[in-house]
Amino acid sequence: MKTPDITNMEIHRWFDGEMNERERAAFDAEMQRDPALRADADAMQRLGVLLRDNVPMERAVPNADFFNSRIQEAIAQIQREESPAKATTSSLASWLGWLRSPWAYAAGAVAVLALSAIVLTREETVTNTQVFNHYAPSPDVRVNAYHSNEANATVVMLDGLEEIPSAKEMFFDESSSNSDMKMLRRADGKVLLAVATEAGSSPAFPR
Amino acid sequence: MPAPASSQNDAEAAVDAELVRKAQQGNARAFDELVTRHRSKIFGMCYHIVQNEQDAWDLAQEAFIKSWRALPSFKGESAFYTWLYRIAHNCTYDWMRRKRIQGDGEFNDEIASPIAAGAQAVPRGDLRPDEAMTNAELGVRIKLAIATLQPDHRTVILLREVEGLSYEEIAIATECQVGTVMSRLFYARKKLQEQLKDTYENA
Repeated sequence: MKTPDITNMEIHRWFDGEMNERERAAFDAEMQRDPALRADADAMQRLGVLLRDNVPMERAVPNADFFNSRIQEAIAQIQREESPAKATTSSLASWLGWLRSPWAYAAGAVAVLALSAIVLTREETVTNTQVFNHYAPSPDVRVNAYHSNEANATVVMLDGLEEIPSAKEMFFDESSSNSDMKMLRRADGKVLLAVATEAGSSPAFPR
Repeated sequence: MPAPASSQNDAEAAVDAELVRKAQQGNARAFDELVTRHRSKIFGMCYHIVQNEQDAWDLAQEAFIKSWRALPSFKGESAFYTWLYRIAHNCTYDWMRRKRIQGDGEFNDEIASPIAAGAQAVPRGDLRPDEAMTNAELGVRIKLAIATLQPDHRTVILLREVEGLSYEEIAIATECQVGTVMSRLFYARKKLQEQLKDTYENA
């Protein structure tokens, strides 16, 4: 590779603000003496303005939500692969077993804790969630799902509920035609949360 | 002369740092927010290099997924975006090697790529139709000139001129020496000046 002329390189360093104070002062003085050097620097400046005005660095991502959800699915898959022992329960039978376990109620308890603004320490957890996708109809509710090694269960946190139903006041609806999708409903039938247990499932939930 | 630039202001860097800390603890939601904050830039850079929207979309995806895997190794010694960009850069160049479209050597700048249909060429502001037409043509011309640069040169000039990264940040992002950054900048500017001189001199 041919080495660029050192003087030309100095113009670039000056222009890009990469010189220290002493170097810049010397270069500025040199430009006062050399109109050609000044002209080169001006031309470089005009080129820079032209590029900045006409070349957007950022570009809107098509289907941005889908872009994000694909990444989340991949992360969930990675987490499952990293803890294979936990990943064996992706079948429907295991999922339903999880739902029926006492830890399903613990999910509600976590929601209570989260709503009470008690900070949960997460360092001890491994995010090996079996929930690939989740959706809360209320825009005020934030959902977070992760796998707790300590509990050996998937924990779902609902943050932002208007009120916290007791474990008896909510139930998992298993009647969905899509066996990979489950709804957590209040006693009055209102959907609090929908979760998908297979990566291919996508949310299309009633409000 | 532009001031020495950094890719992010301190406030944004602090937000990134907090999100990274949470993501490193396994918080996928925090990482999702990082994706949202940086996807346009990463996608834009991938697009500038490969000049194809679908491939850029896939490569940006790959970059974010790889960055999730690599998050435990991120020590915060550089800005998160710089680190992320290096991963995206590696993904893109690996892809280009596989596609065998990368040229050889610093002087092979003749990789002409078509401008994607629908590429944004209309500049900002409310202009008269004749001005808008002139500027649209200008935008296309600039994009064509950039497309003729070797990908390495294209990356460096865009990171410097448009993104405002310092030499050191560019060197980290593209995994090369600062001297190589300077060399690539030199040739990229020289080539663009040759192609666009009449444009900016008449402006």
